[in-house]
Amino acid sequence: MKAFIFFLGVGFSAFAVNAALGEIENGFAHEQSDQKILTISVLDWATANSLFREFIQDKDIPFKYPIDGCYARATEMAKIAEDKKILMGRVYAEGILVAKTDSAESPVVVWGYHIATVAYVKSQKGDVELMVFDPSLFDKPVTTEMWKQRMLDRSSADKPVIRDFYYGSRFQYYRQSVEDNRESWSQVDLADARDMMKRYQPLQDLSSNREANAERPKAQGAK
Amino acid sequence: MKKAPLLWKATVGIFISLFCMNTDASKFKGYGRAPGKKPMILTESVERIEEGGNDFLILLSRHAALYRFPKSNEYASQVRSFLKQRMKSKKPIVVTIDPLTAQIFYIEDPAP
Repeated sequence: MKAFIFFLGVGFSAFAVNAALGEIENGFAHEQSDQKILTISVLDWATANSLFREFIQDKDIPFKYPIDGCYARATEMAKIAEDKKILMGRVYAEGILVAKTDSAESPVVVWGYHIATVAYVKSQKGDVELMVFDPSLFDKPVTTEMWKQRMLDRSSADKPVIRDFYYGSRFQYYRQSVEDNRESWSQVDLADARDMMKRYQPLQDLSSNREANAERPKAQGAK
Repeated sequence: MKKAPLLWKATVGIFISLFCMNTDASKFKGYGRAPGKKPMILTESVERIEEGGNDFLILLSRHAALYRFPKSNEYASQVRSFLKQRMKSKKPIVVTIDPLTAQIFYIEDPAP
């Protein structure tokens, strides 16, 4: 009987863990031995929004300097999430990426690549979708398709194009063409991320008010 | 008669100076720097060069921004070959930028 309860308990735990985890393909699996599939968390919508707001409110992360530093911001976001036992991944787009921002200083930014964090989010209807957490462009988690479209602004003379799109683990820093697969945090990357954030903090356009617009959880009973 | 050699020397001097200026391919001026704008200086290798609508769009290692150098610049073709050569050799270059607009003020080789 005890054994039965033990196995029931183990089975239930495994189910609970599996229910809270999802998978993405590892774009950094260059070697045969590299992990091909990465595990990331599945969040409910309220947790996802709350996490997003926490990112925006973190004064150390210069989201209001969109021109550069996405690699460092994504690292910092993933670390914050990890502290809450939430496993995030990274999403990468490469090409000529043109995006309008709400920064008066840099209303349009052009990137050679852009990185943000991802997690699965379960909607109130029960659908689970991979969502991008990118406070430099949005005020809430968005689908990967919305994220891509935002970086294809056709009003610019520079013709935007996405040439490559892939995912990586939270431990990666730069792109798949210049970095091997990582299975743990690199102290060099973490130090570089901190340096970048310090360098870009004074350049932030604090006139933009995305923080104020960030979606707040509705009060219970509110429609 | 004595003034002629002096004039000749001055002409040759000016010619040599102008010649040296035009052949100094290691420093290119891009966008004009507005007074009070504090530049940022990056020393990185060139990873990729794109041709945007009006600019060369330059991806430097360890950065995600595409920094802009005007294609309309009189040295545009020299800049193109300079960048391609540096990208091939992976030698770092020094780029002075406006960090708020990503416009490049100067591109040059590092001091020896």
